[in-house]
Amino acid sequence: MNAGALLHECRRWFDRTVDAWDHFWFTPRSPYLVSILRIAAGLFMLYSHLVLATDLEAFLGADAWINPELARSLHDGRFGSADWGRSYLWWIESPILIWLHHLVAILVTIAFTIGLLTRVTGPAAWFLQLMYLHRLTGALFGLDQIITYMAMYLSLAPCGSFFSVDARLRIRFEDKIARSARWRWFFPSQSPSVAANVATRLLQLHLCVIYLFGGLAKARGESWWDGTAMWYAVGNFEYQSLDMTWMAAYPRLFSMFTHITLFWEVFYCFLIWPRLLRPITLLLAVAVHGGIALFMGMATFGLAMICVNAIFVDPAWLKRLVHGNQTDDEADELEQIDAVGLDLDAGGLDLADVEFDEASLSDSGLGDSGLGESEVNVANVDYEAVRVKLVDRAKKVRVAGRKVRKRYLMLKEREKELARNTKELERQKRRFARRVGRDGDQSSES
Amino acid sequence: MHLWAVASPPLAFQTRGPLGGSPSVATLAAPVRGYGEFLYLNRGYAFFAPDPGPSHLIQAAYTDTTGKVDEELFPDRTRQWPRLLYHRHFMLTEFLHEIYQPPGPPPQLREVDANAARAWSAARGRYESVRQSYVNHLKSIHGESRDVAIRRIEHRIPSFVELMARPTPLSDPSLYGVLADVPIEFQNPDAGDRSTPEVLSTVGDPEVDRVNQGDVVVEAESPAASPSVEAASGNPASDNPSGESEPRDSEPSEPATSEPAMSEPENETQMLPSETRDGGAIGPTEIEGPVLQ
Repeated sequence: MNAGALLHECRRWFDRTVDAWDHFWFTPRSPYLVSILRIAAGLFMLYSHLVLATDLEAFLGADAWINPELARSLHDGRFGSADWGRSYLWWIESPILIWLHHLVAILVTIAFTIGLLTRVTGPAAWFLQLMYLHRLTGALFGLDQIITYMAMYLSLAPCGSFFSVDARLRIRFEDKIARSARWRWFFPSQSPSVAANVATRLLQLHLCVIYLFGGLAKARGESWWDGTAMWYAVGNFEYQSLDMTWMAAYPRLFSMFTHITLFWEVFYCFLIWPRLLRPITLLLAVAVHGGIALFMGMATFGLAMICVNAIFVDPAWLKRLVHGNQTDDEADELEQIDAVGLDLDAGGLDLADVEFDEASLSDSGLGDSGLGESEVNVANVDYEAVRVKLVDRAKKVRVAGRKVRKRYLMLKEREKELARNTKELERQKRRFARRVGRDGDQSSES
Repeated sequence: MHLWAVASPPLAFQTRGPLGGSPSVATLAAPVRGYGEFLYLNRGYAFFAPDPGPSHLIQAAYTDTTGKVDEELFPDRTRQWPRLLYHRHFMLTEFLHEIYQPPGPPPQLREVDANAARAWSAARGRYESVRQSYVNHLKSIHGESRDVAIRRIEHRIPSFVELMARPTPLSDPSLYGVLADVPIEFQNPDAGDRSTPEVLSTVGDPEVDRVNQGDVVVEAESPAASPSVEAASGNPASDNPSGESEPRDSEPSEPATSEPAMSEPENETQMLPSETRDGGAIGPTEIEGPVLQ
């Protein structure tokens, strides 16, 4: 292989890598799944706040288990190493203020859960959660970590697109939204978005890091290798919610669970990506975390981990599962195609424009390969020219795909709008018929 | 940068050994340390690792002016409900155990390693401050006129072999042991007596683990104030309790495990009440007097 060919191979590899990177991070993704996760994360945070409210002053008050001054000193380096954990709650000791703050936190979390102004309430709920974490040092565990991470990543995504008050407001303020980009951002559309994908990818990778290091930490322990770890987990009286000591009679059983857990956790970050292995990996996640939820007294943590694992579920598949046949498979397929950011509302896209673009595209001779006979002659292949032409063609195909997709989504939108209008018309018709009937009865009686 | 901040804390946690953290990983993690700490990404994710171990509770004794003593164990499922509230209390008691640092440092350590001695003092100060905060909290609930004392309890998990041979409930009083707060004697390895380091090299021996921890397991009372008293030993299987390890919080234990040699505490029973000794640099304890009855 000569230097030129080698260079060419390197460039191809580099191009492919860049494409794969772009595809991984910047492929628009339906915000359907992140909207569902918003509800889950919101409910977990809300539950955590409500439980804290049952004994609020014991955890946040001036005479709390960890008093505010101590909470501050655990972070500011007074006892050795300092860290950047900061919370304004270190300076709040008044019970009234603490309660008011907690009330605000609960209201913000409720708003986030129901999807009201999620662009604001999402980051706010996450920030408040973070402030609580830095205040509650010593009283935290896995649940607090995972729901905080969920809130953090969901704050980046248009997680108020589905199942939310925002979605209803979007219909109500349709005119304003059509005119203003700020309103469009505030009430995110249901079309696939890059932000939803970035948030999804970050959470997926974070989950892989959690499992990898969780598994590696376990691999340092003897009991995870000799199979007794599961026994010591279920035999812990303080954790247990169901008595599982009968397992003592079945060492093969608990040692098998131990080994499966260890290997699943260590290799999760590899097994979760291939489509073939993903369902098995997720089923194991449900089994492991379901076990923790049912038998080890950490129902909230177990459920939160199961929910966060759903981030690996394909939104299109989930949509089909929830809506059955109502969801168009083709639309789901299209949502997955590699296209750059699309917002139907942006730029006042018109169907006529799209049709014109398509016509001009056909005129440009997309169907033609564009390669002359001399170029395909193996003896005199000008690789660079072929490459340029192929890249050019790929671009054209991508543009065409994008436009077709735009048109398709626009038609879908129109179809939905039409269905909505028809339904409304039917309703009004029925109402009118009822009213006419009533009036007729009254007049005949009189 | 964010993913760097996500991956580097658990990596730093896993690459920490008796001599401290890996220098290369520490360098790698340094630029994103503050960012990760603020976003609460500085976690080790070591759930039930390296080994699931015994639970650590606290027992509080309230003595009124007439000398009457009431006792309470934390956490308690019957009084802390819902389960999440119970779990928060459980994490607080585990936290106190996790940051435990024996009284000290031994005078000899100051001569040998001034930095280690300073770290010891700081860790001890942290432990005493947290313990004092717990005491103050309990006083605020039970009245300032009552004396409050707390001590750490370890709830051992029987092995499955043990349980099959002698079926006992997991809440059996014999499985609870008091962790006394006693100083550790420092022994310079260059001074001559080599017998202790040899003993320390034995892995998995509960007696050795006990000495390593610097805690004395003394005669245990039932956490439910039962009069029965039985000697309890540490759980040889494991030493990690909480299901969550925090890199920052595990630091204090390092001096205790990395010191060259520590001899066995002199007298196991004379140390009760377990948490009544002064000796920390910060946060003098108020707990004096009452022994849990």
